[in-house]
Amino acid sequence: MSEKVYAALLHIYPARFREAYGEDALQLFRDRSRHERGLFPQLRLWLDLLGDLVLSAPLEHRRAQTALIGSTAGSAGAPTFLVLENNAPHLGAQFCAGLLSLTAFIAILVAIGNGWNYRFQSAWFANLPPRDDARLSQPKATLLPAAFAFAQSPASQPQPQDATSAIVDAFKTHDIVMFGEWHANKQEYAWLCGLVGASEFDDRVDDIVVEFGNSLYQKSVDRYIAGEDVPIEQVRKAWRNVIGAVGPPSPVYEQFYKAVRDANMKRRGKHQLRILLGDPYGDWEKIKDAEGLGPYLTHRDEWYAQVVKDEVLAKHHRALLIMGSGHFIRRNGPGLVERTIRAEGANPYLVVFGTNAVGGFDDLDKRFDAWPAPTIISLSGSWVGDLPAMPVINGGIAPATPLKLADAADAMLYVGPRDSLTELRMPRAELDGTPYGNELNRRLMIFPGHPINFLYDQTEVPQFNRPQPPPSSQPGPAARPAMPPPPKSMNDPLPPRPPSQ
Amino acid sequence: MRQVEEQTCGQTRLGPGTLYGSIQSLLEENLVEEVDLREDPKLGHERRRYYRLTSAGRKLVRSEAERLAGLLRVARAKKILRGDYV
Repeated sequence: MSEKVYAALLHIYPARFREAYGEDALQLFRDRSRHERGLFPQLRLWLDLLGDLVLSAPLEHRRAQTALIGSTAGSAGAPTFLVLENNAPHLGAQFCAGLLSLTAFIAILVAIGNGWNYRFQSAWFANLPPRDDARLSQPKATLLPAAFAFAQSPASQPQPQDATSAIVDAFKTHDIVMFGEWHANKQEYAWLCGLVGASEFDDRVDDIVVEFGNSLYQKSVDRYIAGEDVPIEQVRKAWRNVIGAVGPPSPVYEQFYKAVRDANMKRRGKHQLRILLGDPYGDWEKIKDAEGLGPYLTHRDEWYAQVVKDEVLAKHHRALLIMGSGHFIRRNGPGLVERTIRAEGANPYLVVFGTNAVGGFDDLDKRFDAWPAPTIISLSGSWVGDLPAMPVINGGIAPATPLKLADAADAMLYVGPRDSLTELRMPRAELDGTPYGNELNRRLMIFPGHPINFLYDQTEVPQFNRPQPPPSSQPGPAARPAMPPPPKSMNDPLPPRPPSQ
Repeated sequence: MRQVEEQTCGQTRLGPGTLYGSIQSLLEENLVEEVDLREDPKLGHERRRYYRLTSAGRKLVRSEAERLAGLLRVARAKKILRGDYV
């Protein structure tokens, strides 16, 4: 809260000063807040800050003014413009500008009253054929309505932005950016791997919190991400022993860890990224039945939020949070993770994966075709935000719900038309008869309690398949076994966390 | 900021506005320059900006220190300063 107050007070400084040093001033504020705890130290801190503000803000405004005068001084005798950029104009200038605007407005009204009214009222608003009017020339008649229409159009048209730039920009105003992913998608993870290799991102972001990493293995992952020589068999446990996904993980996740490691190794001596594992710390080597799995399986969001609180918010870090979009989207308000971190004072920005499927499976919106991919589109105030959230987010494989996209998230990532998207699968050779494949079969018998085929010959397949009609009520030989009753332990609290491996 | 406070025995307490205003002046005068952004593990892995003196800045600091040293010599000779200052 106090940080927000100080951030607001920084607006007293000129825009150029804020852009250059606003972040650092906030950092200094955080440092001092951290060290000067208690009533009197906090009082002294605020007295210092207010005194500093009173003394330094006028100086900075004078400096900004001097810089402006200086920029025009070199062109003596030549007409020049004063470049104000983000600085607020003087009151006098605002008054003059207001007076001129009012004069122009009155002039237009007078002009309308002298004969332009017919064109505005009948040709534009009532959509009737224009009357032949000798006093009104054709260019004037069409130019003004067109200008008004053009001025109004950006409010309803989406503004696709390069996805990496959009995320970097989001971090300029938010310390936390949440990304609701679609599991195993090749194109989405190709972009994410590129994002973590972008220096603008790496300079700004401290942590990436992932769902696809069992926090039991945080120590191994820390060493791997830092570029140390860690056996890959040890690090792989982080994404192969995830509690929240019993089947084989897609290779996209291993690629992502490697991309972060590569980015850090290229930036030796500079600010480094850290991957924080947000999956609960259940140890599959010790889980023998559904009762042993229950507490972990049912506290996935809670644990993820706890990791963000302890490792990101408490350290005043900036972080990209990645989790399946189902965990993040706002249904009746924010989900558990967002609610938890908002309660801690965070103000996250939520981006979700989306496609051009806007209705049923065959209802693909052609308007998406013009967008470059990957792109991120802000959802507020455009027709994209008015689309129903569910078909867009789930590729049209499930029926529409009344929830609008703009209510579900702040922005959408679009990596290409739905039918161009592919899922990467772990190759059969890594699973068929291997110890890991056998272990996955054991886990499946614990949950969901029946075998599931995870052996595929193709490693890349279409991401979204046409939904199949529901199975008939007659149970056939291929019918899926019924789900076992949920474990009784699912409401038990998480057991104590063991040491990280 | 804490270092400045310690060096001046608490007499000078810099706030962020004064600090960065001073840094901006020094940058404009080409007396300091910014070096790479990096983290300091001792400070919780948060990003820090580092500045160093330019050769012009070093010259100016030296000449200013010499001027003050000269002033101190005069003060000593005139027996104006005693005790801790001498």
